Amino acid sequence: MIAAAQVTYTAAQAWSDLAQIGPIVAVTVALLVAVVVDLLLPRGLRGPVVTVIAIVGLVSALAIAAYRLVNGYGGPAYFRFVSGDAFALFFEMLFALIGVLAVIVSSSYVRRRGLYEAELQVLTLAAIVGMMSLAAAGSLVTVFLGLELLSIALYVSCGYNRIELPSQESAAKYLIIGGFASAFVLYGMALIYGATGTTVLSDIATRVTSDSAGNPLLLLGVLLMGVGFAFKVSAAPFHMWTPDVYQGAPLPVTAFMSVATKAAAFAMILRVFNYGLGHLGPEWQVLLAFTAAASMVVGNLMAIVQASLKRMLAYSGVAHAGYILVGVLAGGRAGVAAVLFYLFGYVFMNFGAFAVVSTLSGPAGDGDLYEDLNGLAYRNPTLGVLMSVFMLSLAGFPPMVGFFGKVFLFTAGISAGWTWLVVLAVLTSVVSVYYYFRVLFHVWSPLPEAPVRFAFGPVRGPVTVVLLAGVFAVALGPLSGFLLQVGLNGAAPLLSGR
Amino acid sequence: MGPATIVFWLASAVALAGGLGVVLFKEPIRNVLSLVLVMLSLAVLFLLLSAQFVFAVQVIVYAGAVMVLFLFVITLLGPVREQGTVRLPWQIFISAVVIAAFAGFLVAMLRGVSYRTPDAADPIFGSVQSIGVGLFTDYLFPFELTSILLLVAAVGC
Amino acid sequence: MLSDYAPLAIYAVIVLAVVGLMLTLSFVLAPVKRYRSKLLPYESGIVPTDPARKRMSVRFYLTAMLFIIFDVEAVFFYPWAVILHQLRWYGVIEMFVFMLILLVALAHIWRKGGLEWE
Repeated sequence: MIAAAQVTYTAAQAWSDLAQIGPIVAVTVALLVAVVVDLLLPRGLRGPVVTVIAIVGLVSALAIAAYRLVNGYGGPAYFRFVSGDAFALFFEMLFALIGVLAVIVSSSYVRRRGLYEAELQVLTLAAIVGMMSLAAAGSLVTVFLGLELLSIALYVSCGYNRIELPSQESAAKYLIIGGFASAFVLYGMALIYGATGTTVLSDIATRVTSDSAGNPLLLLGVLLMGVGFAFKVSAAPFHMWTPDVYQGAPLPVTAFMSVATKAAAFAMILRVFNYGLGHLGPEWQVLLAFTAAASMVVGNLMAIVQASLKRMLAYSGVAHAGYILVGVLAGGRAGVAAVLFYLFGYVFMNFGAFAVVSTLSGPAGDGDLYEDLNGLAYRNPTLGVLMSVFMLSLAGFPPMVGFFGKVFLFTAGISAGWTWLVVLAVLTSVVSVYYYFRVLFHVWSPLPEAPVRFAFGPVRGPVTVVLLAGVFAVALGPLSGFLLQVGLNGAAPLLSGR
Repeated sequence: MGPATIVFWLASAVALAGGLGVVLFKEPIRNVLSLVLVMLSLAVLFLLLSAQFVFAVQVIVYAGAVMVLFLFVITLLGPVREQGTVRLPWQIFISAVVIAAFAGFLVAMLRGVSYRTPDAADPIFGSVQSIGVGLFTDYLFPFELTSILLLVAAVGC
Repeated sequence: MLSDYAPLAIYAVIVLAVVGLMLTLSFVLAPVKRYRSKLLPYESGIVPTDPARKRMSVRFYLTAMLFIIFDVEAVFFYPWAVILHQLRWYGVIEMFVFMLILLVALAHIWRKGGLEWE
């Protein structure tokens, strides 16, 4: 007869494990309550109540993560399949913040567009659970499940506006390309597992040494995972889906996706490559350096010729993925901290820009042409000024957070010896000024004679978000020293293993 | 060549043939049925690795349920023969070159690869017990995450 | 070991042989008479009203999807039931959380009319 395996797991262990994933639990509970509330309340109340529940859940996740970060106890949980370390907490706070912004913008947007509110918020919460698990992942299995959870929630969100063809196109393209990318990631993971015999990242980190670089299984695994990851962060040459998906998806979904998915995917790259496969650095760096260079060139050049703001921001996102990859390549404390810093700042500037565009949409559709911005500074001075702040920040002008982010990324890049890449990044940044300033030109142009396509409806929510994002984008400049410290703190768990 | 090796090569050949069928048949129903063949031969491969539980799940969930879903998709679309006229002129040539390059790359990489010596399998490996113990202790977090994944699928459909 | 599965292999071979035999025999031995009522899909049954090749309702697809979701859920119960005595209360709580989340999913489907067929 088969010997019974011993299962020992104490209550104390269970509570400590649960505390490690506190922020994830908070969002999950909010998700479940939101689904139930959506079924029980009368129709008119569902949307607002679900939105409030989502905000409460996300804010408590933020509070838990901040509390744990300040008190500084965090480590692996659930047999090292997930972790509550400072790196995870940093990203959990980031996702909770983005989530709050996204939920507020969506709430106002779906009402103006006449869509059903509650389910979009539920899907956003589910995507955030996936992202948090991804950032906290201690094993390739968790990485994959988190990736799928966030992707599936976003596929559905992209097609949320079912009666509109572009929304359907967006969902279908994202589903097929996303599934393709996931298959690459999974294949790569299988090979890594085959070569190392474990999926736990800390075990992979100890078993993969510099002299396993000759093992073809590992190399193929790195290559395939790298391709899949590049799809997910929309880095060139795997970026082709980005503009179409961003353009067709409902605007708040695009805004959320453009920053949150990117942050989650970079968290995954840092966990798997910089931590798990750190000793294979020379191998994956070749791959990522090519991707980074291609992203910067393609993203910036293609952004110039776009007529749609959504598409322009999509290509600008490709370019920014290239800049952030410089930090990933640099690695080490400085590099990882620079990536965390940049992601934090990028979230607010890019989300703010999308939130401004989302205020231009009405019952008839989204206003996402440059011309729709004409005279914005006079129609609504707050939005006009803040849109300028976001553009200047994205372009990397000095007092803004985008400038400090680039400085940290590029200095880390240079000190790690990636001078040619940094030179390319600076050159392409100069190119990017052209299309960011084109937005400014339209925002500050005199009021158009012809009536503007979209008057401002009830947009209090998005304006609040824009204000919040603006305050962050401006305030993070002077506070960059503090944020960098938080980033350095978050980077530590990835480096302690070696 | 022991019986295990023979079964391995047979199952692999059937799986490859099924895979070709998925790509090459023009009638969508035949594509799906070829996929069933692939799933079943993969199940045999799992059995060769002593993974009985995975074998059963593969047959019940994949070859059974998932394939039913695929069939419904095809009946939903209407059983129309796929039109071969919209291909780009160079498509076949280019895809052949890419396939050959990738296959050559794989062969070049994997030739003479030294595989890790497998860990000694414990006596209950692959049984329902060992899967259960793994699923409810080590893999607890991914397991619970799966339920949220299923919830999202239900909300989304 | 592999020899443990010999009965399974024999079984599979017998199944294939029987099916092949039946098909071959009826193909070889059956008399062929081609006239109208013999060629109907259901001989001496109900006369078909529609062509077989028509589109089916999207409901079938949704139902199949829901079936898979709960099929996957059911698969997890099997190993759980086998080792429950080792897991004790811990296992009960684990499965309770899992079930709770999927019950919420079921409630959602139910209330949103996913189980209705109009």
